[in-house]
Amino acid sequence: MKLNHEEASANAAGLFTLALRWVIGWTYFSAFWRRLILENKLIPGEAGYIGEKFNHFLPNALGIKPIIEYLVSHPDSLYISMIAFTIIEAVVGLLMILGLFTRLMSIGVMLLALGILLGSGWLGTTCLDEWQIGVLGIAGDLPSSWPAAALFYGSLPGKKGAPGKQYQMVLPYRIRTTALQKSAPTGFNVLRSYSGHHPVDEPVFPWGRLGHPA
Amino acid sequence: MTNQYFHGGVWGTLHNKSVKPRIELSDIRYQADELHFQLFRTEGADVYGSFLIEIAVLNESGDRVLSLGQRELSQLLPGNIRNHYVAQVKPGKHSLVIPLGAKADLSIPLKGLNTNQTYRIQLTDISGLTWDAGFKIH
Repeated sequence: MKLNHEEASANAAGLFTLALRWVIGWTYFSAFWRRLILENKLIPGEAGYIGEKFNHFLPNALGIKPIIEYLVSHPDSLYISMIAFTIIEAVVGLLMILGLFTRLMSIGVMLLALGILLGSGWLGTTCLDEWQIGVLGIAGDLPSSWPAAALFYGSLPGKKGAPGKQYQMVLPYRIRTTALQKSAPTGFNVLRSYSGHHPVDEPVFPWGRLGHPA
Repeated sequence: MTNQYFHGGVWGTLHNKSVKPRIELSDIRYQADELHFQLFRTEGADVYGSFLIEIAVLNESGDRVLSLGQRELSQLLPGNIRNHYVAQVKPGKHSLVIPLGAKADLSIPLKGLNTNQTYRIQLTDISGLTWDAGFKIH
């Protein structure tokens, strides 16, 4: 397998956003973890019910007040949407941490962060807490959504060692690039220029420069 | 933009709506010896309070024609409170607890208010903050 300098920089782009992905992923996955595993906060009527927290957003929310008001006046719909939100947060957060479907998940992160910002951006007793979470979620998500998780994928098959299996493990990378080709030509071009003239669906391995057998 | 909207963080007066509770009073009506009004808590910490320790009705000269104190407020009946949302106004151990975002219609029996007079409803939080609104009986 031929690997060149440009491909290494595509991996570097993935590496640079690794910390962001882990932290952002955890902010969402931990919401699910706290709400359902460490404690159960999805029981309507009990202290700590997440729907009641959602109700706290209402008085000064920006733009989404009618939605919040509808939900908090209809406990059944509220319950369903709180469960849905929790599942979405768990999936988005976990896949973001693992680096699976990173670009798709980053759209989820963007929407979740925007929701938090509009709903609870006015809350926070000390340091504008919720506003900071919202804007940093959005800002941190932008760079992670471009280079996806090249390095993370690349390193997975490496541990297994067998060249045959490597290609299977790289499948998500192919899906990523294909999806990107369709949905985001600009992002695609950027990645393309990172990877030089090589076919974009060819796997990019970080250890390529370290002399992995072709 | 959101920073400015939520906190006035770019120019003008800074504000943090999570610091002190604020309760809005509206829809005041007096019918059949009952006083009806709506409470909506719009500001203050999301995780705590507020705790009402007095609901008073004052006449034009500032005398209390009604005063519900801690004991009465902690014993309000479910029939006196109609909650709109999931976060609910409820009698607590020593006060009437009003969570952030809660909206409720209260009905309080009160005899003998005179027509063509103005009165004020005054709410007192345990912190000493008060909120009031006037009304006139036609």
